[in-house]
Amino acid sequence: MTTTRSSPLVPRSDTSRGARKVGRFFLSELGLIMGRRRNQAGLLVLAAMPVILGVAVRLTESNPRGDGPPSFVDDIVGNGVFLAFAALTFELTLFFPLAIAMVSGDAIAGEAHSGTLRYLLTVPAGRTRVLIVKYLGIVAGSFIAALTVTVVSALVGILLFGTGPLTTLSGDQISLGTGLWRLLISALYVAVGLCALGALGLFVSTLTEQPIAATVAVMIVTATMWVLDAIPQIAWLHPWLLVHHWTDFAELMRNPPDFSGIGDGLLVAVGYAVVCLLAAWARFDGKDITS
Amino acid sequence: MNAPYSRRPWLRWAAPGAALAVIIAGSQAAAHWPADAATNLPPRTAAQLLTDVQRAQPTALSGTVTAKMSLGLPDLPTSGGNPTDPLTLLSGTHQAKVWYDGDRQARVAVLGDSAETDIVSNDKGLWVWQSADRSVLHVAEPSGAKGFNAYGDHARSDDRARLPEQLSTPEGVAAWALKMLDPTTSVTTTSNDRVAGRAAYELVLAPKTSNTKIGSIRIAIDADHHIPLRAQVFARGANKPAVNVGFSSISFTKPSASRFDFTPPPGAKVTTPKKALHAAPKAVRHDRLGGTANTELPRVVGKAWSSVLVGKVPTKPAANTKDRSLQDALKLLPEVSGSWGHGRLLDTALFSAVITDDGHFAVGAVQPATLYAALGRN
Amino acid sequence: MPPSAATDEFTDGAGDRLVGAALGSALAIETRGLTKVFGAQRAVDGIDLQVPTGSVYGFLGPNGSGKTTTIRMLLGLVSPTDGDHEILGHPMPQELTTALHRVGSLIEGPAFHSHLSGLANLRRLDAADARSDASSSERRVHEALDRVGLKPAANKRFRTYSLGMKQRLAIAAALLAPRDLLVLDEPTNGLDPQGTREVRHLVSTLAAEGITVLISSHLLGEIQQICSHVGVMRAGQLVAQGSIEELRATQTAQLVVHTPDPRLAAEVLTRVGVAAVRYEDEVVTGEPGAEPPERISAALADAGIRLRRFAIDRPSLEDLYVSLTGEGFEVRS
Ligand SMILES: Nc1ncnc2c1ncn2[C@@H]1O[C@H](COP(=O)(O)OP(=O)(O)OP(=O)(O)O)[C@@H](O)[C@H]1O
Ligand SMILES: [Mg+2]
Repeated sequence: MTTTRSSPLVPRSDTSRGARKVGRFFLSELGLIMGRRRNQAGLLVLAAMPVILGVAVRLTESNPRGDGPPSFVDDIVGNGVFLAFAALTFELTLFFPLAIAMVSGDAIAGEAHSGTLRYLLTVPAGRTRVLIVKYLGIVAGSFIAALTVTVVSALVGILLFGTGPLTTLSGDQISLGTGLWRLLISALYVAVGLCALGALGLFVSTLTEQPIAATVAVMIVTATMWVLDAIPQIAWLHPWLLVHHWTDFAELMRNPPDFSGIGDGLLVAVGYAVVCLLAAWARFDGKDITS
Repeated sequence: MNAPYSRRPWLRWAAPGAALAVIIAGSQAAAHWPADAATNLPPRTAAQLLTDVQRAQPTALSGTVTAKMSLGLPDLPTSGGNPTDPLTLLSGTHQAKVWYDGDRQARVAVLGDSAETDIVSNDKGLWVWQSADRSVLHVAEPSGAKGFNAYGDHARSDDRARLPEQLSTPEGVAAWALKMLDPTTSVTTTSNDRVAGRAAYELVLAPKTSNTKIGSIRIAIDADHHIPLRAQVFARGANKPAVNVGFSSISFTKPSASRFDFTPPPGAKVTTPKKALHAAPKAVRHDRLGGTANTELPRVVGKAWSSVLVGKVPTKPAANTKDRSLQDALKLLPEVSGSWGHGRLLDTALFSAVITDDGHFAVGAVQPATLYAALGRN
Repeated sequence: MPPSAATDEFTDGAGDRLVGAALGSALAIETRGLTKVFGAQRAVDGIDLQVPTGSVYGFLGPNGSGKTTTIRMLLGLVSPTDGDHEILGHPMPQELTTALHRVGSLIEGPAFHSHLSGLANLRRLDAADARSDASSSERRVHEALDRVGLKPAANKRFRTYSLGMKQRLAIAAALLAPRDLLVLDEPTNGLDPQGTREVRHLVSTLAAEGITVLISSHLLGEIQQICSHVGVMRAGQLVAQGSIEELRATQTAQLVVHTPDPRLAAEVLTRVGVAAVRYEDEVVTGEPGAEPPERISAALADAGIRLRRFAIDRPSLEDLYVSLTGEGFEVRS
């Protein structure tokens, strides 16, 4: 019987399986994402934004300001930690979504475009397993992006402006430790929102063989959601938009911190992620790989 | 490429489809739950309810008040500025958090987009904190909880120009409506309801005259604590409230004392007016309008529901940006003219207002024609 | 000879479906009515592929005849519109993972991440395999590179590889794990003569180890040298299939006699039972059929016919291929 025969080349080992097996694939995927010049440059740009923001505030700080200065400038000057909150808010509108759209749009479409997908699938890596590992890569990318920006901007802010207890929106003060703790929660919350966008990107990525097309599509969807979110006449739609609750981590800067916005945001994020991942699976599991 | 789907590929789409359906159904169920929870309360007449309200003992509470304004005004995209700006308060949905210790201390936090206005009343007096410009107004005179627990004499003493601010708490709206009570109004009850998860009686006040834009006012009164939980103002013939102010969550446990502490944060601009003012909102307002000079006292024309407030807009010594934006907003209003003069009309579902080119104004919960008549009597 | 006749002949022959089914694993690949329709085009039209275990199967056909599409279906990359198939006895796609783990493949040219080295690319593919053993990964990767002679360039970026080096890396990837079946779609495409020879040698070695190989190629000479079996595609249909000997036996052998006495020779040949005898100038041709050549030559000698050349021509694989797929150069659309 030839079915049980192995080539004498190397003895086969079927012993190790399970999560560890996803682990090795995942580490390889992470290496692939982080090893891309494009992604390294993107991360650098993300990290540079708070530095530019901080330096700009520092340079204009002593100048007399005109009427109605943006209040966050005062906050940053008062306490460098606020630079991190400002950076998170600032990058959420464009830079974070762009970074995630790049990574997630590339996930399947990139492999299909270069033809590596057919080899991955005949290894066989398993279609569902490929999706899971690709999504875990996007999740890792989201957290790396959000945490890098947070840490860099907090350090730059503290260096430029010093730190101490933080003044909340409610006018009360909280200790630096509490403030940093809330900053960490904000960063993780931002990352979760990006993960949901990544799930959308992964789905779009299964629809095409052009990674750029997937990236552009995700950016268009994100921009459309921001625009819709700014139109008060369709307020009924707002709770359903992924980006609607994205900046709600600012509610943590009230005293007591208001978690309701973040809670709603997490629910919306999980909803988007679940639906998009299942749609990605439905599409990818039956897709003809002809590239 | 799993076997069960290889011949029926579309079957896979059932998974995301089902997930989407569950999410939509779940969100709808959560939004309406517990809509049908039974509210079996012993029957009470309107008169009994009114006495209940007036006799209600102040009780410690904390909660969130949501105000939804559907006056028919265009919603302006929120600029992220001051959440207590009267212009923004007139439309859209607003939230405030309320804490009250049942005695003299209270705190109201009006939530804005990355901004907050806090009004704190404690033994050191009254504090108004505005995060938008990091300003603190401190009135040392302990004006106490009156300003907040306002369904007493406070409402009676005041002018109606401050309507929006007053309408931002259920207490304020209820007090204002109670004042209207006279032979011109029919007061009835209707089916009980649940507000913020609490059983409530509903009092309905309906004007007997048709010479007003207001169709009815419904006030939901907590069955245990007899405090108004929600007030809704309906325009004539409308079945959705034009103004809906009520608790979206409420708890009757006493907030910790530290909730009412307030120390101006470093870097805040603290102003302490020398002249004691009887209520903070008024002080803020006068401050914003650039002082009280040249103000001709407004007077009331007409009676009860169809009354019209007529007066002259205070002239501003120095126009700042905010007033300029107000002027720009005015220019968006349609122009009207008549024997009374020439001006611009703001016509909403509940009230209308005219401001003439020479600075006179008339406002009331009436049709514009009534306003013109009132102006004509000038 | 009409193509369909050949097909019939060989499905009734050695690779009989009944025989295959009875022996269970006697067929490494078996398809029944495998069909793929792209829009209005039947790219693969109900083929019954039968690749015996242990064979080296040459998969031939003009451009666009459906070879790659068939291979993609075999490997679960494309879902068939109709029909079903088994790989190494595993029904597909139900047991896809189990089956493919034992299959090494090269589909339509090499494709790797261009910013990674050949070594890193192989490591990634090995990491993607849920069943591969992490501890032996490094050894297997290096052995595979060694086997295709890529060791010196293992650490160069894939982007910098020549076409032949890329092709070799793809073969190395197919050899990453112990395999029972290799599916190679045009593995010698772009290889230099040495490379082609090496691939031929490698395939022979692997076949000697008992690995079944399905190899699609346009180099008929190569195929003829290394293949034991052949299948020919034309316009989505499998027009012939069987062992090389069987296939060539179906082709009518030609008797060619060069003689100064053509008329006489023709008479003698007809007498000994050679069919379709024809002569022109000094060349006489005919179909010897089952008649042994030694009897024919003896009869000619007995008749005193002077011979310049006496030959029985067996057709080459190329003749067979052309007779099955036609002379036309245009691809089908
Ligand atoms: N994704 C696709 N969509 C539409 N038609 C396709 C697709 N893939 C292949 N085809 C068509 O199917 C037919 C068979 O293509 P296939 O790639 O299988 O040919 P092939 O035998 O491998 O040719 P070659 O020798 O050139 O590699 C061709 O006519 C091709 O145009
Ligand atoms: Mg091909």
